[in-house]
Amino acid sequence: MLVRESKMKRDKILISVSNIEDIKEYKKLGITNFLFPLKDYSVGYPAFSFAEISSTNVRSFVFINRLLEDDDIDKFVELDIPKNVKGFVIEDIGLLEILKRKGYEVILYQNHLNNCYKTVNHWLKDFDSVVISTDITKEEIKLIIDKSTKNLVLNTFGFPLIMYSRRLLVSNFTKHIGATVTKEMTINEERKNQDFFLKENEYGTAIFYSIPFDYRSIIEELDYNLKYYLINTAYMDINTIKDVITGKVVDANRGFLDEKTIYRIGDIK
Amino acid sequence: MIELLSPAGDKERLKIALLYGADAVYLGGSKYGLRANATNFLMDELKEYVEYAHSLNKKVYVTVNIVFHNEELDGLEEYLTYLSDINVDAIIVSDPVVIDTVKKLGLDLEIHLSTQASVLNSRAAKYYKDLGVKRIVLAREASKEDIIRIKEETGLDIECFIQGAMCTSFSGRCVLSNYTTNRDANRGGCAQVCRWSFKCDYDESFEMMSKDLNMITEIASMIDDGVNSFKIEGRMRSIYYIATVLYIYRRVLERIKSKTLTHEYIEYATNIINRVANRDSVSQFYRGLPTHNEQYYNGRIEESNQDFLGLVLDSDGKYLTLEVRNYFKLGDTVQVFGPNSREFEFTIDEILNEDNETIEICNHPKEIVKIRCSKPVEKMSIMRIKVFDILDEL
Repeated sequence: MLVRESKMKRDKILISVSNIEDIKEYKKLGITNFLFPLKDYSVGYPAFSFAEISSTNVRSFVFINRLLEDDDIDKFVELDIPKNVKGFVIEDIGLLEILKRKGYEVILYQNHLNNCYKTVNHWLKDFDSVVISTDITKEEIKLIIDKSTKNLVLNTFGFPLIMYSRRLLVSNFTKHIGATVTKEMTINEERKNQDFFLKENEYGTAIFYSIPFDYRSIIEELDYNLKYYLINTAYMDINTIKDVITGKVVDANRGFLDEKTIYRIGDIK
Repeated sequence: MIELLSPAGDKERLKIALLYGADAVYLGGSKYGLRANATNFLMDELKEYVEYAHSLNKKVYVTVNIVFHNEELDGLEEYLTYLSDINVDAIIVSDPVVIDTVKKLGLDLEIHLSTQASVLNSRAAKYYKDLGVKRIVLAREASKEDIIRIKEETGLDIECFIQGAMCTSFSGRCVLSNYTTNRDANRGGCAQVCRWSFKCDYDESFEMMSKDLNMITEIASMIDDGVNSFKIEGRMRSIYYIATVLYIYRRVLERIKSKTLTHEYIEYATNIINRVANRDSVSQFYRGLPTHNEQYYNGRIEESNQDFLGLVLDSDGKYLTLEVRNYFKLGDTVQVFGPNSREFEFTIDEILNEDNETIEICNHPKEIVKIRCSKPVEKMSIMRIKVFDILDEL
């Protein structure tokens, strides 16, 4: 399915980094905000150490999407955070106080949980911004943005991460069948012929839907209260990402923008 | 106090749970619960059953643990006010909008944080404590070390699941159902897609289903860790399941208290629970990361067994009156256990139908029959087919 193109303000794009070599291409396009999944603190994405992030010398945000144990946080506190890190995008609120105390911009990205404007406004009392869920309709997003007390982050493009497990689902399966143990695979749900791909590291498994969502078409209408447009580049080729940035049409869908999910089974018409 | 907490998916399950040893039950009201397919309780029924539980000196917790969308905000204040008015003992929440609303309204409602929030560390727990949360239902992925640290550093009441089905995902972090069926997993519509089989590049289908959780071997250790409440999963499970699981865990707790829990009883209890759950069960994350041995593969099909023969309605020391649930016949050896009485077994030698006629088989569910049994039997006792020898060394 093809989507309409739309213009994005380049200085509001927050682009995830999947390959450090790509940064120079993004810089040529006017991108200034870069999001780095942090090694040992993220699941599902190519990840980088603080040393690698430091070496890029770009305005950096650090992505921590793991749910953490106290030991993980204890170790995190001991890490030297590079000077080019301006903020953090986090899933686990256990990091909040530590990061705020150090003066970082902290953005909450609890995948699938921030679907309501009062919930978002609750978090905005403590966080600098919140990434809006991709599980809701355009009307729901609009109401959240209308009523939010701070500028928000719109998850704008990327493969949706639709399940996060602590279990090592791919290596467990390959061990079970006696195959060479691997960390990634693609699976297919036959009824609807939907593909999903799994990415695993020692901290768990992420499952992605194989069709990216593209919310660029709603930015123009909602831009008045958006802080960043988050573009997730993971598992995309660089040319597709450049097309996304420059407003070209790419193969993607509109996710749940036009379709409400069903609350109760009795609601199925 | 150590609490045994049971699901109560409807009125019958609630009564069974309270009779069979639950100190408290959790249930969904007509709104905002995560088991949209359970019968759930209407407002008036909620009031009635809170009063019923309180008359037994037991507690009722109501789940208000969906992930809210804008449209669910309508009616939330009235609903929470009602729950406060009927004196529910706590609400179980995951979305902070519910906590904010309780505080805004000044309601006297104890707040328990749902496992949906997936709390694994003491800093996150402290955040919720500062919001006014009294108890945290920890993520099912919590290890022994996580439990100890959170307890030590927050002093919060800690509730842990000890029995039942496991999500493959962290709770709340899965929308497979939304993508494959359009049913909203975080508002009660989960289609349990993690239990499906998927095609992949290998000859075998890809599966990711977890075995059930079973913490019988770890209860004593969890008490030492500081766990206050032991929670059983399964608001849609049968009364037979609820009665059996509660009966077993209550006795495990009693044996721990009296220091009489033996390996033999643990093995017996595990066999009984695995049989009634019709699934294998393991201790999952408590002692480390589950491996492929803690998952199910090979397109497992769950065929429920027919062990539950009936519910005892009455007994006069000569015959017991039974509401039939599954087929049995003269000559079968059966076992009976009750809310306050030990298991015993006997062989059926006489069955009378409602017209006092002798019959040889019972195969009509809900039929009322009399079975000769010289031992007095408590009302609401459960009769099951004998599968294992009874082990009751006390």
